[in-house]
Parts: sequence; structure tokens; C-alpha cells
Amino acid sequence: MAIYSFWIFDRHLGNCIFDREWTLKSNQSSGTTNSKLNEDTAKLLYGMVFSLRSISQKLSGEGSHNEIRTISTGKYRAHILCTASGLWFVLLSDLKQEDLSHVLRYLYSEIYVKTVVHNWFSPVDFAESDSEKRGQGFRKIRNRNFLASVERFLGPMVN
Amino acid sequence: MSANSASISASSAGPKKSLKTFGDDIWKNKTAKINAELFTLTYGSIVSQLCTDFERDFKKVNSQLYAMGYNIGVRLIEDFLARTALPRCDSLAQTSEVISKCAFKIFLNVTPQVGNWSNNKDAFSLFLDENPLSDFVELPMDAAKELWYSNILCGVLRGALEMVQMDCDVWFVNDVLRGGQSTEMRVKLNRIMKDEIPAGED
Amino acid sequence: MPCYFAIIGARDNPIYEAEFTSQQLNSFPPELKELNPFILHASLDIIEDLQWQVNPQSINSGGGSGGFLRSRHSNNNGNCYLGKIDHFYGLAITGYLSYGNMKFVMIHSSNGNGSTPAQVEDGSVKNFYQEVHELFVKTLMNPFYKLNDPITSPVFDSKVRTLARRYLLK
Repeated sequence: MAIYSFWIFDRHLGNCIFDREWTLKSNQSSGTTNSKLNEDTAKLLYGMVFSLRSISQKLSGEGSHNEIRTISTGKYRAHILCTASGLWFVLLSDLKQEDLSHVLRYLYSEIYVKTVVHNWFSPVDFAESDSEKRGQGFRKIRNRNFLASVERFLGPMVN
Repeated sequence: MSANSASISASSAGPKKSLKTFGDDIWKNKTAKINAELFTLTYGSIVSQLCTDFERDFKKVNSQLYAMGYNIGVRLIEDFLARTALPRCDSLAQTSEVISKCAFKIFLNVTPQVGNWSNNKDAFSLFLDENPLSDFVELPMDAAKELWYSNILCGVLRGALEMVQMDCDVWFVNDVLRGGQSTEMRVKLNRIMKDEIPAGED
Repeated sequence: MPCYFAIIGARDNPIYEAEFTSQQLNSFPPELKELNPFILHASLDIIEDLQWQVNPQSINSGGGSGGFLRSRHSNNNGNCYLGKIDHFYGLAITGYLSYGNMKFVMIHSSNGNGSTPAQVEDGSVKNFYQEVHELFVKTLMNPFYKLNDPITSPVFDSKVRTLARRYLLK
């Protein structure tokens, strides 16, 4: 099992509010968290999911739900969870992982909801003004509990 | 995982009945319960403290409760979606059913009646047969004309619906505490907000 | 028999009072009526004595309940009812003490013209007190009611009067 990176995009499409990338399989704490360097990657990843998502929804016709779940490429697979509130959780893994939707759901309902949403001192909307919407946001989830829980949960899956 | 499979069954079977059993199931198995009196007293002490703090200006108390509810709603919707894994609704009729049979059931263990639809189907009422917020409550004379005791609920609905891109007005029309026949909340859909679109797309 | 009932708060302040009469029964004669609050307050000392009595062999005659403090050893509110605690020229006075130190007291007058001393039916009087106690607890749960404030709610009043008709005015 190998997971490469984990991303959360908020409802102001394209604002990446959390990213975590693992570089070394042998070292779970390697890589970057909420890195500036990942900004461009985040935009590209977001663009890919956005386009494929809207295409797939158009192809399925009006009025029916057709959420995109995974995107496979030659080297990796992206697993996607889109909530009705407009959050996207994206997990990149190797091709052996067929379906990680349960992992994404756990990240959402047990980690994100419990450590970020239920924490009144953490914002629910990471864009504090209109100028930070539409992909211009720069605020990240910095909540220690959240970071620790994500590490605890995903760390063992990195290898 | 289980939530996922449940939501699939909820959308495939007849919507009315399955939403109800779906809500019941989450209430039974996935919801932590607290003592009803503790809950009622906590809310009551907030309202009565607000009345004191605002020097019995009940209009201000109403809007304060509404604002508190709004802040709860924008968070509670995530909790709700995490529990239910429901997709966005196709129609306001479906939304009303989800609100009454799932949302109210899960968070307050009551199922308000939906009714009083407007002609163009953009507004409906929720009739609360019982209201766990207002057990034991008797409004003082001066408050009975102006205070909407459970106004926090309006704010919660407004906040939660806004997060799923529905711009709604929510207000109380009637309350048994004020001597009304029933406790009625009105929900009016103004518009469905478009998801933000990245620059260059349209 | 007509009765005069009052709830006295922890600071010996009256919180609620009511007179129960019915058409068939005589009411209190006017000159006595004014005395009622004084008679009631005079008996508060006795309640306070009883309150600290641990020994069941206390002064109280009826009711069969011992001192209030015995309640530490029982988990019901059976001995909140203190029974007949005092008498005043043919009037009987009964008392009931809640754990929050609210005193429920009542003057029972005899049916006739004061020639025969008033009789207290412990069973129904106790039931009355217990149900009023329950109503009082519900009032306390109302967020707009402050402890030791007078109870002005007309709902409370009418409920207490219904209870009085059921248990006392027979």
C-alpha cells in the first residue's frame, strides 16, 4: 500500500486548505505539510479534478448525481470525495489501491469534522474575505489535533 | 462505509419511507445522547441571560439567537453530511423531507410535519409538535409578544442550507409559547447559489 | 374545609400563597383571614426545629415521619412531608420541606364554625404536597424563573387549585 499525498480543497473552488506530501517511503515523517512549494501542484490537481468532474457530470445528463470517485493515470491514482457542502478530499496513491473511499470518508467524518468543524476556534471558512476566494486563498488548516490525527491515520499507509 | 451503503439504499428505495428509517437508524446507532433536561436548561439559561444582557430588548435577543444559530448551522451541516453521506437534493420538496426526517430526527429526535407549501413551491412550513428546546418554558408577559424563544433553530437552518448552496430565509410564524395553536417555522428558498467557478471557466 | 396554602422561600420570603375554598364549605371568617400569614410564619420555627431532628421520636404527632434528616438514609422524598406540625385555636397546620429548603405550609380549618378541631387526612394532604412539589420543580426549570422569586404564573396557580380541589376540598 502506498499513499503519495493528501489534499483538501474548500468550497471556494481551488483554495487548497491542506496538503501533505510524502516523499520517502521509508520515512513516514518525510515530505512536506502545507508547503508553499505545492501551490502549483495543488492548482493543477484541482484543475484536473474539476474538469473531469464537470465533464462526467455533463455526460450523465442533467439532474442526476454523478460524482467522480477515482482518476487513474499511468503512475498514480487519485481518489476523490466531494461533499455536498463543497469540500473536496483528494488522496493520491499507487495503482494497487482500487478504492480508498472508506479512507476518505474516515478522514472527513472522523478527523476533519471532529478536529476542525467541532473546534469553535478553528474557522469553518478559510477564506476570510472575498479576495481570498476563487483559488486566491492562502490559509491552511494548522490545527495541531488535525495534523496529528492525519499523521496517525495515514502514516502507516504510506508504505 | 456503512453510511455510504445506507445512503445508497436511501436513494434507491422509495424516498419517503427510507429517509425516515434512515434517520431513525442514525439517531439510534450513530448519535451520542445527552440528558434532555441538561440540554433544555442549557439553552434556557442562554436565552434568559441574553434577555438580561440586552435589557429585555427582545428584537435584539431574536437576532442574537439567530446569529448564534447561523454559526452553529455552518458547522453542523458538515457533521450532518459526515453522518449521512447524503448528496445534494434535487428539489426543495426533497430538502424539506431531509430536514424533517433526517436533520431534526438526528439532532433533536423530533420529526416536524412539513406542510403549507406556497403555490410556486418555493416555501414551506415545518410544524413542530414538540420542541425539546422549550420544555418547561413559560414566557414572561413582556416577552410573549416579541421573543421567538427557539429562534436559534432558524439560524441553524439558514446557515446549514447556505452551505449546500441554498439561499433561504427562515423565520418563526407561530409558537405555542406565545399562545399560538402550533409551533410553525417557515422556510423560503430565495435562490440556489451557483458554486464558484474558477477564473476562465463558464 | 377551607385551607390557606403558602410556599416560603429559603430566605423566609413568601413565594406563593393561595386560599382554597368552595361554595359548599365555609371560607375563613374575615378577621381570621388576615391572621393566616402570621399563623403560618409562626410555625416556620417548628419546621426549622424538625428539620435538624435526626431522631424519629420527634414532636410531630401525625404522619409518622421522623426528622427530616433521616432522609439521608432513604432515597425517596417520603419524609419531606412533616405531618401536622402545629395548631392554633382549632386550626391545624401541616408542613412539607423540600431538599432545596423550600417550605410548603398550609392551614387547615375545620368544617364547622371552629367548634371542633380540624382533622388532617394525612394521605391526601401528603399527595397534594408531593404533586405541588413536582409542579414547583417544573417551575424551577423555566429559564425565566429565578429561585426565591414570587411565582406569578397563572398556569401554576390554576394547576395548584386543581390539585387542591382533588385532594383537599372533598
